[in-house]
Amino acid sequence: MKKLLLFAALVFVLVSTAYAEELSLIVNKEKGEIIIPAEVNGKYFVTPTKHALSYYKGGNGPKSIMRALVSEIDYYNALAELGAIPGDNIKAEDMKAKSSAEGKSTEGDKLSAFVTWEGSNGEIPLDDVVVSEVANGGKVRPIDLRFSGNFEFAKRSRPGCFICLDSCSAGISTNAAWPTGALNNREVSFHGNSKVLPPDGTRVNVIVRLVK
Amino acid sequence: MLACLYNSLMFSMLISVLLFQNTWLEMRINIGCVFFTLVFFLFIIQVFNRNLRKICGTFSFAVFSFIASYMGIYFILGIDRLKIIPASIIRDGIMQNNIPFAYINYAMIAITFAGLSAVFFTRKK
Repeated sequence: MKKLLLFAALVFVLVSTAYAEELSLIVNKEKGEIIIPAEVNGKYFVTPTKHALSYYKGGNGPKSIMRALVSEIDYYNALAELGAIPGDNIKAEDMKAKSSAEGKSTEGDKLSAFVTWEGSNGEIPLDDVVVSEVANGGKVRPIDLRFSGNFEFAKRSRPGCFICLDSCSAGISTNAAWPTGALNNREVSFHGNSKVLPPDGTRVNVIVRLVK
Repeated sequence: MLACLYNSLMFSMLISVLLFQNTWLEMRINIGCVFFTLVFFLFIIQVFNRNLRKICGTFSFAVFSFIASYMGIYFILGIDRLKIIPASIIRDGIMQNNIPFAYINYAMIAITFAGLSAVFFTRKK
């Protein structure tokens, strides 16, 4: 029995440490781009979420279409290094808006995001890997990614949010196309596109560029 | 005792899947942790309540909990989500997000049938 328990403990330790591989961001100042290593989370092919990319150790790490393998703090610093200016205009109370009409859109420098993986046909735009379902047959809005900032909140609460799919007070970069309150009012929902993204667990790179 | 544990596993998964359907809740709490907490409490309730133990601690009730849970989960999720959601609940609960869903599904099927067999072979005659 003791041997069995010891073996089980050993297996648990091995499985736990197998995920401990920490990678690093690649910042290319000339191209104005950041490459973020991540993994696909197949759970959000069939379940709605507001998170496109979150640090796997952060509070929202398991609640995101892709799990970033690097910290969101590094991401903020990398964007600042590229010279991007954060919006920092969404506060926690703005998140209580009951509809998008009452809500506020994030500000900050414009960004664009793409995903690549082994076998992908070039850089796939974030718009193609995320499915937006707009209520009452409304028009799908292209993702308008901004450097929202929110550094103090990210540092204090560690939600791990890199890219939120609506305007948010927690994400480093969030989507200005959908103001706060849109999700509370169920005006839109998002999930990963299983027809475009590779299977669950696949290593991908998320490329974020500063749009000049 | 084994039947009580089996029932706890089955009904905890059914309740967790029901909770998972609420997006607000799913975005804010770890349903996987809720699953393991439910297993613990449902087991304790069945074991320490003599009347409940008499009803739930039988092979026939274990069969009922198996059928009721699997049918319930199937009707809530449908076939495509059935392959992902229960496995993702377990994966979040054990906080090992790199384990493929297929492995967890195989383990769940094995536990379901091995558990039912164990309840059958250890029943009081």
